[in-house]
Amino acid sequence: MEFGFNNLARIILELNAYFKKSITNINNDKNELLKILGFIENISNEISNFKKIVKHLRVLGISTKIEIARLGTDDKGFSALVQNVDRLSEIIEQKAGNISQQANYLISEISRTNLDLDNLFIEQDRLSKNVLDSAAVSLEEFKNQYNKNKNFIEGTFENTKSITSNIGDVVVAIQFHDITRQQIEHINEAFNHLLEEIKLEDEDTKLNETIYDICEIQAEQLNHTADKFGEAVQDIIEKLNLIAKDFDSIFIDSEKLYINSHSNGKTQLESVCSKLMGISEALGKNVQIEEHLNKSINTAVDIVEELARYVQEIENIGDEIEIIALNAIVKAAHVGNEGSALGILAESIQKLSIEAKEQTGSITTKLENVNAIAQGLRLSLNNSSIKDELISEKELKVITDKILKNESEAKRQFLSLNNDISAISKGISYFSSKINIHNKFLEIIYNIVSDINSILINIHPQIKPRTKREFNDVLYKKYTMKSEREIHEKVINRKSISKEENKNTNLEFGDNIELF
Amino acid sequence: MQNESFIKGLPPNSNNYYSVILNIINKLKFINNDTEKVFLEIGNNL
Repeated sequence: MEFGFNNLARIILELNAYFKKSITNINNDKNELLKILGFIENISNEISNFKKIVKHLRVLGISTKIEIARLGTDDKGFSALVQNVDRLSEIIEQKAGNISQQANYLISEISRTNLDLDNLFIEQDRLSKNVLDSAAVSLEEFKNQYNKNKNFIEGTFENTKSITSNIGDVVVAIQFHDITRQQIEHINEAFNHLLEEIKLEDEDTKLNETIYDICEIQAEQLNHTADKFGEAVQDIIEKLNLIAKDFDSIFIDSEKLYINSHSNGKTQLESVCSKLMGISEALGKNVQIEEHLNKSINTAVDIVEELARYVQEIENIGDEIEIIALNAIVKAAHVGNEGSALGILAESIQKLSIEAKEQTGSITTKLENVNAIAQGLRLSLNNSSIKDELISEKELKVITDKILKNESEAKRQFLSLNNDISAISKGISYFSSKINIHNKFLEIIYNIVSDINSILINIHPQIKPRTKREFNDVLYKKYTMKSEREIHEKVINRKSISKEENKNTNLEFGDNIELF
Repeated sequence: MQNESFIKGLPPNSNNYYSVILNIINKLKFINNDTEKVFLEIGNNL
């Protein structure tokens, strides 16, 4: 159990640390993406400069064609310049269009990823601050409750000790019936002996004395047996009630235990698990967003590479035109004054080529910056990947499922145990309330004692006091129990019934005493 | 019952004592069996 707690606490700590780190990462990623966005927006703006260049190139191309026609020259150097200007215009227009389209796509992709990051930030901040912290608190509460319950159960174990001891007492009291039976057997033997005496003895006085002495002792033995028997049964009833009470207190304690470990209908462990399951879902979402971010970054890198290629193509054509334009300037100089206009046009075309190259240089620098940021993001994403460093959503689910299964089994066993305890307690109480057969037993014993007392009262006036005659002590040797001998001695040492005692005894017999 | 008739006033003589004591012995035999029953019942229920 301790291991489970520590494991769960460790997972919660790790998740918390992960989410806190993730929040910082999200902020960094967001800043980097915003930088990329800035660069791409700049590139998108700079595309309009290409449009201007294209416009100027086309005008210059038309002017060059007009001038060639005016001069009526078919010099291939000038024609090549016009053709290349047309080609450059088309390529710049086409590539700039591509760049613009891709840049816009990248802007929308990055904006979407940024929105995802914003949502992820809010979710992870919530998880870190609320869910995980409260899961840790719930776990701590459960741990405390578990320790309390452990002490509680140890206390309950004390109750079970008391139950064991009381059951032991009941078993001892039950064995008491052997003693009772033995005593009654001895009393029976004494009366059988008396029957023999009655058969054999001729002399009335002597016989009366024997009957009196034996009856007096046996009445005392029977009273003692009845008392002890009554006490034993009473003891059994009391002990059974104590056992029922102990079971009741276990039931009440375990009820408390059940209530204490629940809040809002859930156990603390269930509450920890439901929080962990929320986290497990969040982890799944996190992985999705992470994958999406990765995809966006890869897309950015791919697009940047593509843009760089377009830019390079523009740059290459620019270089080519620059050389052709230079060639045209030289040729225009050879033509003399007539070709001065063509020279000016070729120079303008050369300047525009240089301008286009400068423009591509500026975009290339920005693209290099974007590429560096994207590569950095890719690296940081790979390093902080959730899959590598943390428990997975699936593993977390396995753990929570296992905990919930154990919890539910414990709950089932607990309820079943409580039902059993309650049934035992009720059963014992019912049974002890039904123990009354001993009353019938005691009633018969007291009835026999009453018969014996009737004989005693009847004989008493006809015999001498015990101090003035010999006592028939034949029974003494037959006793096997100390209590029997003590009662016997008590009776023979007793003086004959005094007048006062006689009066009390008479009262006990009610109407019957009138006869004697 | 012989015992009851004795208690209610038969003259005191040995024959009457004999029958009363015989009656007592029968009762003792009866309850000795019952003692065992009482405790066996408790034991079984436990």
